Amino acid sequence: MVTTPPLDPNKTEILIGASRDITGPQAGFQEYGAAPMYKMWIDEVNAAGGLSVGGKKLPIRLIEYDDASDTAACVRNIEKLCTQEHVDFLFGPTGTAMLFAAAPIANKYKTIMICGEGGATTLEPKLASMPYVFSALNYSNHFQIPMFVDLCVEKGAKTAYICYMNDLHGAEYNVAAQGQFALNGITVVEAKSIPTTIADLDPIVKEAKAANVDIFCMFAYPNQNILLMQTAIALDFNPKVLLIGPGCNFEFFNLTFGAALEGVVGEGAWNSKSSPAAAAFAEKAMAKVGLPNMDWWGGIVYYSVAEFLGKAIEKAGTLDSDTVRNVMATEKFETTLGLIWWECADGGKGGGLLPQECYDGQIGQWQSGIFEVIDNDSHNTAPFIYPKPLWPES
Amino acid sequence: MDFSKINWKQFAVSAVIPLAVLVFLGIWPTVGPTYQVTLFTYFLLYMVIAVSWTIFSGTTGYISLASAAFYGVGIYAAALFGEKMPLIFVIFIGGAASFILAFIVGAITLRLKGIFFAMFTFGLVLLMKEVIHYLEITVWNTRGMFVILQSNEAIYYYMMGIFVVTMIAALLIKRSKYGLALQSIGENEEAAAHTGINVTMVKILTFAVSAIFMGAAGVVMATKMTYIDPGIAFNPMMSFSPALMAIFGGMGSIYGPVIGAVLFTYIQEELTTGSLKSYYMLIFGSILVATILFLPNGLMGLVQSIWKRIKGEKRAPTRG
Amino acid sequence: MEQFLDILIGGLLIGAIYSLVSMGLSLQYGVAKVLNIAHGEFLMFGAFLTFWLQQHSINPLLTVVIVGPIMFIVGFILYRTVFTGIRMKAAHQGIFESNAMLAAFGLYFIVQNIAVLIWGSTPYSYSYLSKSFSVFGADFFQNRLAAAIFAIGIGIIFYLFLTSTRTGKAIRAAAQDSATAGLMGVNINYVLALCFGFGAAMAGIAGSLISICYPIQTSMGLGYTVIAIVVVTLGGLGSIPGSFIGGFILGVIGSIVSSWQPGLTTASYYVIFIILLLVRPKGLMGK
Repeated sequence: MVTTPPLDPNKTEILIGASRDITGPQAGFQEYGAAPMYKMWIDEVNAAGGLSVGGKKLPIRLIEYDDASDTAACVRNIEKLCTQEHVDFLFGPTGTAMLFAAAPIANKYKTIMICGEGGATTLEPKLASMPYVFSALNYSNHFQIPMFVDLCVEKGAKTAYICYMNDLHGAEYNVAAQGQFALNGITVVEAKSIPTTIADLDPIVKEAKAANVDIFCMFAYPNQNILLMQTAIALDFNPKVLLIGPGCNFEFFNLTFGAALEGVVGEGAWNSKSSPAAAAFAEKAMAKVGLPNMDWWGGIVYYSVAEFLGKAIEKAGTLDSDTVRNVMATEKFETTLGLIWWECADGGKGGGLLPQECYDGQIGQWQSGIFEVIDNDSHNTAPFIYPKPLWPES
Repeated sequence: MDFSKINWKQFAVSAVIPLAVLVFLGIWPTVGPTYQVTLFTYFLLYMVIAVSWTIFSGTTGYISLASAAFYGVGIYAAALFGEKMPLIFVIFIGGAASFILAFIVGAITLRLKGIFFAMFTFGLVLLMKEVIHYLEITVWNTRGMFVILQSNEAIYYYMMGIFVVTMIAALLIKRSKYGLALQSIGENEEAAAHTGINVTMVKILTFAVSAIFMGAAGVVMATKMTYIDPGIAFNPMMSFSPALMAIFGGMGSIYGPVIGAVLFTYIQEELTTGSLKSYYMLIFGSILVATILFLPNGLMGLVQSIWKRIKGEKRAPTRG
Repeated sequence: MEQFLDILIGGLLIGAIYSLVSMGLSLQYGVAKVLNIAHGEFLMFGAFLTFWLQQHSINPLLTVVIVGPIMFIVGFILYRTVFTGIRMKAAHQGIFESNAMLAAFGLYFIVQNIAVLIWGSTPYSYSYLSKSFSVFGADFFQNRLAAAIFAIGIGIIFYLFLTSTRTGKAIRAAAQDSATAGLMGVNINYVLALCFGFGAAMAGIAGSLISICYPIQTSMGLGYTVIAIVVVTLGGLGSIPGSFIGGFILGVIGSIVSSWQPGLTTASYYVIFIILLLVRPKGLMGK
């Protein structure tokens, strides 16, 4: 048995590094993504005097760099955080592709990285060789799409149309959805990619409307998703199920569309009804980020994994990466999400993913202004409305 | 060689200083702090890109915005062949692929003058990015690629090797008859053609040769990035950066782009990781505008005019 | 028939907006010789101004009379403070063009950062005339029709201004040969600043119209700059009718490609752009 390295007596604070999109096209995630949740947790820990590590209270300091939404800059930032600032832990950057670039670097410097916004389908096979990478969010084949397809099958939906963004995020969801639909006997009439720049969605909506599909999936970013909503409403396209994400999970989507959003399905999900802890958290988070930036997909997850990290550090009694990693890989801790733990690849030796039980939900549906969890298990907060009500007359 | 004609002062500048810099760069990874080695790798990268950009665009006046395409080709070479053969071979493949691409681009854009050439090269970068993105996701069903990691020191020394070769090539071209031909093309292309210079061939070859170094640099840097996709490989900033750096440093001398690249990278680094990061673009943009407005000949131009003034020459030249 | 109309009318409606976007750049680049990389940022600023005014219950179509003049003043002042200086110091036209482009690149950074500081980076949208109308069974947005009519109207008014007023003639003279125009008594720096100002105003107005049709975001600018560059190259520098023809062609081609493979829409723009540069770099209407 290896003995735990003692805490460096000169340590007066815990350093957590992050390379974030403070400027550039993805900068919005600083407002409604993981960043405010992490900061809220750090503020709370520091208000309580810090984390007790080996009998000493250590406050947390966040060192945040800007990568201007540029992956090459992000890689360099992570390297600087690890080798110059000697941060103890890392919070991940924004976006699936960005995470993929950052994870191997964090792993190279043996620094634990908690990944926030982004999927990891393509990263999964690599997790075995990345023991320091812990991916927090649920994503495409990581329970969302299987749950979604189950729900559609139960209601008897037969055909689907997929529109996905021409990038890693869209591609992962498209592949996951095509696979699940095929397995469950739902015919995918068409799967079309759209560019990340300005897009005209009329042709897609018209084609889907002509095909009279039961399910329409839109795997794109908030900007395109807003346009899709506008186009679908104007052209009176009313599929029985309309899945939109990400973006649909943010409160600003609800504030933009109001009653028209009734019955629209999104990836996520949690809400105040999930648990008393979730209700209290929703109130706290709303005070921090403001109503429009409430995130009913990741918000509670980001916060809870930060809590988990804090508890793991306290339990380990040291800031040593390997010791803390082993605690993270083997222990379960009570957080806002309830009891959570990581399932690590390669029999516990690789990087971790949260198992399905840990999340408060996979699929949400807007019902009377609330993003209800419609999973067909104990997380459910409301029944699945099928078919989606027609667009309201405005 | 007639030794009596050697200008010793010039000799010091042209040999001793570069040698000292080279020795310093050579021992840096053994003495410098870990991150500083990485930072210097980026200095070397941008110096290579800026100098090779200047080899063609600085002398002929044809503003190329294709740097990102050549760099990206190198990155993809690393992703495709990195696992199959030693890095040094991949570097040659990346360089060769960029050479071929640049040769083709050069050959078909002959007719384009001035800004049309700039627009074509920029369009090329955007097109490559879009098409490869589309093919990867829709046709090949791949989603980005992982590249095998190299140690920081290995990456540094490979980059340094490429830098040295780039500098030597740039100096040889500048001092040769060939460089003179380029210069006269930059001043007046028609006149140059009349003096018997094969304008077409000189332009295409120089453009293609300058692309080799960008492609080679792409191969090496890909091993640092580990994960790549078209958005990373064909980032348009990589097209603008060398032009900005060269103009910032001044294109009159080969050292202009070198200094421009180092300062530019350093300023960017300080802004994005310092306390002013929310204002990074604002400050960076202001520096750019101010440089172009007040130092049209770049930093080297400023240094030269101050130097001339100190030496008491009556009038500082307006152009280096 | 229905699909044909879908593609054609849909393409023309978008094309009209593309035309207005690129008309501004056509003036800035064709006459003032500034390849304004920050063009889309002016557009974004216009879009956000309209959004802000719309939130204060002003009809978004009416905001063009506010946005236009504001952006004109901004553009005019920018030319007088930045680009005139660069022009005076440049030894010849080529140096001015490359330096001006790089200065515009700096402006792109500055304007975008200011916008992010004010409006953040969340996407915004509002609903105005977002219903459809039918032409022989093919459905289209009412707001795009309104935007297209405005875009075409503004283009025509500006064309008449260029062809029939004294100032307009001075601008056209400057476009053909600024040195000679200067000798003929045209205050060239003033005229070029006017051009840049008009270009910024058109970008701003185009932004206003775009905000009616599409969601807006502070990072939206660059995509429109690229579209404008493509259209201007297609139509010919400095030519207002050229901008219209280029805009309509691009709109229709985009519409055809996106009804077949939307993922290739942007790529198709670049293919047209590259082919055109090789075959006819002066553009369809260029002289």
